[in-house]
Amino acid sequence: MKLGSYKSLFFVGVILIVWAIITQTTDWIQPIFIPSPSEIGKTVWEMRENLPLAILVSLGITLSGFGIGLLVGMAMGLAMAYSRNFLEMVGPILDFTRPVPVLALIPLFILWFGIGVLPQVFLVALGVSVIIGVETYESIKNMPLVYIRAASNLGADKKTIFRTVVVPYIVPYLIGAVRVAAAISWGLDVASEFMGAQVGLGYIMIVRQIYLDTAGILAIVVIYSTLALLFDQLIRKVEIRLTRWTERSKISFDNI
Amino acid sequence: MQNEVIKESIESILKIRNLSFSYTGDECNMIFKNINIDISENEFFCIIGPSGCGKTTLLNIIAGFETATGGSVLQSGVEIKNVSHERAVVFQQDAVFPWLTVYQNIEYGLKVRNIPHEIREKRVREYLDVVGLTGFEDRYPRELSGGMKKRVDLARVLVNDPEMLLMDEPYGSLDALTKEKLQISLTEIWEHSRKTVVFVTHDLEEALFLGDRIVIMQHIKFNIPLRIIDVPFKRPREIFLKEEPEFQRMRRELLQEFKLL
Repeated sequence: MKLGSYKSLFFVGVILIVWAIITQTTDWIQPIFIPSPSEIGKTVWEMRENLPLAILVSLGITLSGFGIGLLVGMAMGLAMAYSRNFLEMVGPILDFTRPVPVLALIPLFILWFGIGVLPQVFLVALGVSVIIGVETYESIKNMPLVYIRAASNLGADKKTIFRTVVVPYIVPYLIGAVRVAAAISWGLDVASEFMGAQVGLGYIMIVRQIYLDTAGILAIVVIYSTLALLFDQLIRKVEIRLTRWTERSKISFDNI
Repeated sequence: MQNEVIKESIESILKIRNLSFSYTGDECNMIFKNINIDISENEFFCIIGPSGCGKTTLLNIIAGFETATGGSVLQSGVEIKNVSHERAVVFQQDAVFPWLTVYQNIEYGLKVRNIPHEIREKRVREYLDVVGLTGFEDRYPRELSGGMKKRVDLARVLVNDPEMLLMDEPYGSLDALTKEKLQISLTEIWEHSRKTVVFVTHDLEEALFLGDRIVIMQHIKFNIPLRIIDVPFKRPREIFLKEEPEFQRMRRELLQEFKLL
């Protein structure tokens, strides 16, 4: 998908117009269920003073949680592949805890870490690191043995093989998981702001929900989506940088 | 049951003694048993045999990737226990690192062994030239043909000046023309350096064209002792050798060896 292609802009335009016509000229749908686009725009305008700080805080929680989770996850995956002892120690625990939804831990988090920014960042990081950790380990396990053997035959020791062969090899395989994790980290940020946040986009959403302000909720959703979309685009830019060497497949089913 | 084919010579660099291998470690799943081969220094030694006879496994044991179930392999009198860049392997699969450029691939072995930068650069340039890839140093492997990748692979091991080369059907996946080209350039490079080569292949013509001696490995279930053939053709060898009557006669003889089964 290319952002801003004519076809997608056209389609988005059509949806907006139909939405506007239905919500503003008919009474088929009550505004409390779906407000009109202009209503949402108006709400965003009303929130303009609170928004910059809220966006900054939520962005901070999401990005730092994502960053920490990415590093910890990769380190875990690499360590599990590097050391059999570590794998046998940590692997079963990870398998046991992985199916637990991170969101289910929110009450415990409040109990353990209290309220504040730190547990919020920690929650996002936890969710991200599990995804990245498992994917890192699996990518390494699926590596062709011949690369490892070639490197070792050329004189590289285990550490050097990890640094110069394993890490570069898995990067393209991790990108998919990184994008999924990035998308999920926005959701985790919303959830984390349920842990007694006093500022932030998620917090605003909670407040608007209490007042049944659907336009306000949707306005925040639109802001979150925009941020997530921009972040995803950034990841793809980095991806292209890091994976110049891959045989970029140009699969197309148009002529089949 | 003993495959006793020992060519006693003082200068044999590689001695394979009563070598057996089984993946499960027991008697019933033997891939091969009691293999004895002596390979001399500066020899181009070919191993041919049908799929599943254990020739790649034999090479992997010599390389140090796998551990023998019984017996041993001695390099210059010392038992082989580890992988070493002195026994450089050219693999059957595409083993060129796709994330490194041609230059970085060839440089890899020197770099991980902390050879100083100036020496590295000089040697890499030299071997880029040897394999005819000067001008391609900044390309990524995805931009190269299968034959060119094999050249990178060869340069990547030669640059480390190993004691011997272990080649595992390196040209098995290439088309006939590319294969022939690479065989010619391999003989040229080899005649220049005269490194000991152990070359695994299932291509009889390739073995006859390249080798000084050929060992014929058969599937263990047929219980046929190893047979070693001396290849009489003088060097330097040219591609027309393949059309000579004597070459064809030997090829037929080898073919017979397999057809008997």
